[in-house]
Amino acid sequence: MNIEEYITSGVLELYAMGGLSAAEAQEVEAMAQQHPQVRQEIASIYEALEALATSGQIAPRPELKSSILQTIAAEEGLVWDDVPAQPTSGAGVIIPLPPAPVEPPPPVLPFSEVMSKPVPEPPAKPANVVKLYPPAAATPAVAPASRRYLLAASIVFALLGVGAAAYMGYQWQNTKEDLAHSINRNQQLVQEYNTLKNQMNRVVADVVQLKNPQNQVVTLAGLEAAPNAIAMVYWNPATGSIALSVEGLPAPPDDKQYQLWALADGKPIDAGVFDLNDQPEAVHHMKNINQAEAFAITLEPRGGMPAPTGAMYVLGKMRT
Amino acid sequence: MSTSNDITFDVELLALQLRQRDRRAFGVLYDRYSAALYGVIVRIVQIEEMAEDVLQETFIKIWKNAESYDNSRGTLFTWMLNIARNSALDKLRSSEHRQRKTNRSIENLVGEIDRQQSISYNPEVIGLREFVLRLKPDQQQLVDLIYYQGFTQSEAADELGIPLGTVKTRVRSALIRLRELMNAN
Repeated sequence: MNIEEYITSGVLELYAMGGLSAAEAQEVEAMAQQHPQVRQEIASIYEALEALATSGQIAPRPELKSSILQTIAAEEGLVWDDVPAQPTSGAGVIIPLPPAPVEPPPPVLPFSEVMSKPVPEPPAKPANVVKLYPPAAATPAVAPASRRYLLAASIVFALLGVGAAAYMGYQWQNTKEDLAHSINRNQQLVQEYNTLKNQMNRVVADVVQLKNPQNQVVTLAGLEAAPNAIAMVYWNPATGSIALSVEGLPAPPDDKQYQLWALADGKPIDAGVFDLNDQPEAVHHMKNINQAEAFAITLEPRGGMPAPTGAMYVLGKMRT
Repeated sequence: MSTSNDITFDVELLALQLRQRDRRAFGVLYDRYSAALYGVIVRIVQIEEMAEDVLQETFIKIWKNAESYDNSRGTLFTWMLNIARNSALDKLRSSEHRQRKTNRSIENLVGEIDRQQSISYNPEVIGLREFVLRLKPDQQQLVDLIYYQGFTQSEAADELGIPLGTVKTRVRSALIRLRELMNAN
């Protein structure tokens, strides 16, 4: 079989995919050692299998990474403790022959050109290697001239250090200011949020009160003093609670306030005062009233009166 | 290799650091390759829990045996892939799953398509399916048997009742097809 036929026979694919018996695989490796084309072909088959794996990747659960790293850290501790004298690489640490290159033994199957790249220097224990070839002996003592350079260099570095420190300090200051600003802003937002939340709660409470099916709803129509005014009273006879909304009442002078009255048995009962400009979310909440046949609003001295004294603005009777 | 020298250099540097037991390099390796390795492992053992165990074993072996990686015999990725595949197959062959594997190979004879669908339960395997589905069914079956189920060529020939020569040519054509698809992308 010539080498072309060998390459195209499929045996290299089987080799790369792990589909050969150990003996068969050894034959392929022997061929690879002899023929660069074979090595080349195996390399590109591997490349295809790498692409296959890449195209089918599934990300493992993220937690797995730390669990694996921890397991290894634990095992690593054991390795160092158990085998203190044994070097971890193929290279011996104690090498009596001075010029011996610190290299792993040549690979049994040197597919050396497959990667077309020089084998990197073995990582074995640089500290030990240095000790074998003490460089200090060969290095001449530092000359006075170079000392001056060293001094100059150290001054330059010191200055650079000061500059860097100043710069960092400046940055730190900026950062502190930014942080303070952020904290302020955050507090503002918290306040705004709380305000909104309270407002929302009140609105919800109002709505709950207004939609109570037990409510008696009384419309108070405008009288002579304010023909266009209108007011709504939502009275719950069971609890006595009153919600009031008004529209079209003229703004009163500073020393006066509107007062709501319930009329029962012909007598007015104080239901509380309210300001037009206190801007309730939905309604004014007035005093509880147990009995009423009609409701009316009069303009009274600020703080209200036990009995009405001023002009009546709106009046409405309960439907019976 | 036709790929960028920078990337190769980068990977070789990682390999070097790995051999020096550089934990940071190990973390980088994990981030870069765990998904590809896990994909292969899942496809082989098919049970997520077991696949996680195998992934852990794989990375422990990668860490412990970093010195045995020889870049003259293939890339770091290939080396890790082989470790992952072998670990997964070992797991699969362990006694408790002997039974399962036999069952699966019977199903192979019955209907490869069904089996393919049951493998692809995980929607993240879409990329793989794209690749594999563009292989002819007989090619795909052989790749599955050998690469993902660990059959040797003669076992595969027995299993499928085809001559050894056919196994060889079919594997060859499957891999050529993969390489074409790869280059097309």
